[in-house]
Amino acid sequence: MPSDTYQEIEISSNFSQARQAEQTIVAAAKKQGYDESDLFALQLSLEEALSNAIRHGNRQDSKKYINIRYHVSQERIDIYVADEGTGFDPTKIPDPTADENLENPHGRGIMLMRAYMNLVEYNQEGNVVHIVKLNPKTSKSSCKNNE
Amino acid sequence: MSSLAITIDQRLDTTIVNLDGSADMSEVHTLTNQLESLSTKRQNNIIIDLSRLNFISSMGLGSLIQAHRKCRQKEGNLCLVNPQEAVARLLKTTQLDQLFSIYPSVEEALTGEKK
Repeated sequence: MPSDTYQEIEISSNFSQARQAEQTIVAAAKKQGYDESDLFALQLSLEEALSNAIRHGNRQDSKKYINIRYHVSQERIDIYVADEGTGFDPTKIPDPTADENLENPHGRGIMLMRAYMNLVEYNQEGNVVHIVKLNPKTSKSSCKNNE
Repeated sequence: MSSLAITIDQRLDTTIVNLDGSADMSEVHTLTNQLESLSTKRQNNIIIDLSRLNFISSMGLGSLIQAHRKCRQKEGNLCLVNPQEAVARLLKTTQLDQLFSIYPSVEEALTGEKK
């Protein structure tokens, strides 16, 4: 059985570095036996969390950093993505599936994370997001904070 | 190495864009630029073949929506073809399957017939 992976990565506000971090975490999940649909969900949610941090949090300022902490086990994956922005109120994001928003090219990231992960929660400021994926094959735990 | 390959075919007045690989955040600008260049060339009837696209995120979906809007503004049309299961689920989750016409094959998209 592969051992759990605990890791912390710091990247600059750069899509290429974010993509590398994403691939590292997805590879760790693959080693733990997550199936293809779980890996797709993980990659998608990481992509949304990281691209939000780069574009909206750090406003693509290359001097600002993004901190990624993750724990991947056979039962669950916990990831924290923190940016250096001032944060936002996630409850104020309009529903992207409403008829009037369907043609808006933006605003689907949080909805997708919520649809594909078991838990998505923000800190009070809104500049750290915690996402959790449970392994449906092995997990007995709930989505509550595992730290 | 790029994780997204984009190839273009022309059939009469319709441009077929084939996406192969992953439209992730490090590649989405390539997709956006390619679709914008079609708009600049007044190619406003576009079929996007998704059969070899294995990943797309909200940024990539945003590029498709922008291109769709531009085609429609110029009285053209943009439709999608044969998304893989995970991408089809994503389109359904976002309800973009209501915005885009989605066909099982390029031939059916060309004739406008859904099975």
